[in-house]
Amino acid sequence: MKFDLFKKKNAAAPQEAPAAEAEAAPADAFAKSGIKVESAGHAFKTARTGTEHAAVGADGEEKPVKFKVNELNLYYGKFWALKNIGMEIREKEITAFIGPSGCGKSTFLKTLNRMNDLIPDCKITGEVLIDGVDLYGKVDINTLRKRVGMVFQKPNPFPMSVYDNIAYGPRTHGIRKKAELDEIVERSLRQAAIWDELKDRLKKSALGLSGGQQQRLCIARTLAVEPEVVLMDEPTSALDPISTSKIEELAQDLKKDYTIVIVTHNMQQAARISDKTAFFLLGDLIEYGKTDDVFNRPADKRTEDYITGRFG
Amino acid sequence: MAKELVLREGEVDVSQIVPINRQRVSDKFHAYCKKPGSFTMLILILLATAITLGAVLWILLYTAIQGFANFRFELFAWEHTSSNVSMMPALINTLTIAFFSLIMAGVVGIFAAIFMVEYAKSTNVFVKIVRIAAETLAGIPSIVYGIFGMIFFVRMLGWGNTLLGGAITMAMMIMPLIMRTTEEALKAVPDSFREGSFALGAGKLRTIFRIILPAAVPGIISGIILGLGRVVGETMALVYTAGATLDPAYPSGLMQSGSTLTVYLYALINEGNDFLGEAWAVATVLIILTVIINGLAEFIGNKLKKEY
Amino acid sequence: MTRRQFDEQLAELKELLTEMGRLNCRAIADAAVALEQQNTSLAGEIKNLESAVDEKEAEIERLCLKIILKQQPVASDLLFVTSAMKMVTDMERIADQAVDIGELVVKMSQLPYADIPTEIYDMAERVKDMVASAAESFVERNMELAKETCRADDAVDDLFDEVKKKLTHIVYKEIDDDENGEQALDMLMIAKYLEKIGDHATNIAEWVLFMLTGEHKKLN
Repeated sequence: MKFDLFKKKNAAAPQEAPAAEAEAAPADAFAKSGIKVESAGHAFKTARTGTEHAAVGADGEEKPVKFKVNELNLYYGKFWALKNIGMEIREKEITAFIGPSGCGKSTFLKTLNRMNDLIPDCKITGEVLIDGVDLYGKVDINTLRKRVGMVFQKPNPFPMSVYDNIAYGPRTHGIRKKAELDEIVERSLRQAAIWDELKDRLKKSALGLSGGQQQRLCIARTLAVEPEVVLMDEPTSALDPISTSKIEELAQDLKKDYTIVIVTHNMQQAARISDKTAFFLLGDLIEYGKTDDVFNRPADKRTEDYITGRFG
Repeated sequence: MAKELVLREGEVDVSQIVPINRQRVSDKFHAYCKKPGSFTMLILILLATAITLGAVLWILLYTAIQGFANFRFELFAWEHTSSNVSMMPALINTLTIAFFSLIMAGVVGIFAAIFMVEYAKSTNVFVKIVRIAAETLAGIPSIVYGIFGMIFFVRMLGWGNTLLGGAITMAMMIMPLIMRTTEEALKAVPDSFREGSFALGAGKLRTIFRIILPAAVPGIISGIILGLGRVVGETMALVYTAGATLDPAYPSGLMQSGSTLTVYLYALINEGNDFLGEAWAVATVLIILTVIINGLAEFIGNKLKKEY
Repeated sequence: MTRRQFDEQLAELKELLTEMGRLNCRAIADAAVALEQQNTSLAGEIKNLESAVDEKEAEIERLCLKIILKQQPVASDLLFVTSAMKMVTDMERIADQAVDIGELVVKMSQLPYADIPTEIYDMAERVKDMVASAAESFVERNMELAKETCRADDAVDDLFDEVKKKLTHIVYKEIDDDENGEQALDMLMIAKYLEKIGDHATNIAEWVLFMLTGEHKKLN
């Protein structure tokens, strides 16, 4: 594909995970909660300063690492927003970040595609590797953001037509041919499961769509630049339940081809759709592990208090 | 024959429905009887509206009637002579000065605004100084610009009275205005657009020119209209820079002197009662010009808005 | 406390389960006494206890569904509610089997016991203790007690084998005596019921362990 201007840094990393592993990652934490015969123990307990969270199951079958974060600290002015975060995010999985407001989960998400660079007075130390390459090193930011796309809390379609919204990214990265753009627009909208709804109004303003449609349009817009990772910052918090479930389903489908990291305030949502869950509190990564484990038998009392709603 | 009712999907015929959620006039009257205070307020508001509307209509209509009564073809002759008293050169001069001053002020003002909003940090001392300076400049009486233009362009550069000198003076006058309105328009563009664009891997320039500027167009246009209004209406600053004479008698270049419509109107009135009729005609043309300019700006704004 | 209503519902659930466990203990204790003393009136009363247990079971199931629907419990709350739903089934079976024992006691009341293996009384006693300790391990969230309950089932199983052997001997020996033979077979059924009750008590203890650890293991 011509559009693939930016080659992966480690071409050697295996792309296809074994099918069995994909099966073994259950979508619904509750479906399995009743009887749990196999014991996939926690390989990690509590996060303390500098502790590394590997999130390795007992079965040892894990997908390749996409992001590796080492001793990451982030400061807003004098405020210590992220404290010695260390974690690995695996490829082609959905990783959910949960935690109360102001715990640093969105901030951490934004370090993964350097959106924090836009904030003045924000200092970062430590290391974030994508496919083994330091993304705060000599990396072109625009190329990085093309590889690591982002969907925001509030749907933010540009004030243009549906078509131009989708085509904006590809055009930015040098695609000019009409036929090629047409193909990308259709493919992206299909991937975002919104083609049938929008195919007859491609030339209409994107601002006239419903909130749920706008958010799926934004997902399609992100997919149009063929990213490797899609970061979602509370993508359904402004949407109605039906749009929410559509987007959740979409995330499940996208998992086949993309690494997805999602920040959510909705714990049921994290439990429903994610493979791994990370719990943040006051800038600390408290617990990180398989979603089933985190929601069935959290290792840390604070995680338990938060997910059962008895926080504070 | 009654018009046949066309119903689209999801619509119903509501002509026979008697709604219960209507306030009748008698209801309103009773409500107001109980609250004399709000009734008085209502009367005052209606009165104020009537006065405003009446004043505007009166001025417009009176001027137009007087002006059209004095319209003659020779008022629009290409060459001005003391017998035909043509306003054509003044009209052309007005448009010329407006055009050039807007181009200059627009480009500089918009780029300055882009720098202030998109590039400079909000805590930057330089930006603060520029902003204060711009606000001060916007409040200075236009005659001050006139004096400055006369000293700098007419005397120091030795241009004499020129349309270009007038246009540059006008540009300096409206530049802070355009910069401030553009700044506000840019600030009003939600950050989510910027984030969305950056998150797709677009750079700063592309984000500004493809996303932010188009979204800010209506605000920028309104700033330009305000500026245009000031240029077209300006008199004294132009008397000292572009000149108050119609010599040469026909439009012949930027480096020539020439009066605009307002300056010409001022000159005509100064002539005493002899040219009052012509003065009304010029005033009418000024009004028509303003209406056309506003309409055009509105049209362009809508056109640009429709594009997305 | 940020989830007052939820916590109240969970407390109510615990209260109901405790009450149901208490009814169960009484049913099995009555059955044991009735068996030993051939007390038919006591045996008949077990029926009433059983219907009370049935009512509690229905009430608990309703409450669990309500909690799941309205509160979407997770983590330890979810474990608690699911184990409660599973536990009540075993409790209800225990009460049923106590009733069955009571009916057999009534049936056998025509004749005095002949040569009865005394191990059966021992069995009844041990099973009674198991039901009681299973209920207690739940109330007190006592993991050790729950494990002990599970282990106690082995002794009950051994006793059952012993009882079975002796009763087989009686049936064989008294092959011409219909009444004694039938009594022996009825005794065997009672022993089997007691053995089953032990199994259910073990199941309850296993659900208690599930509730406490999040893992369900078959311990016997």
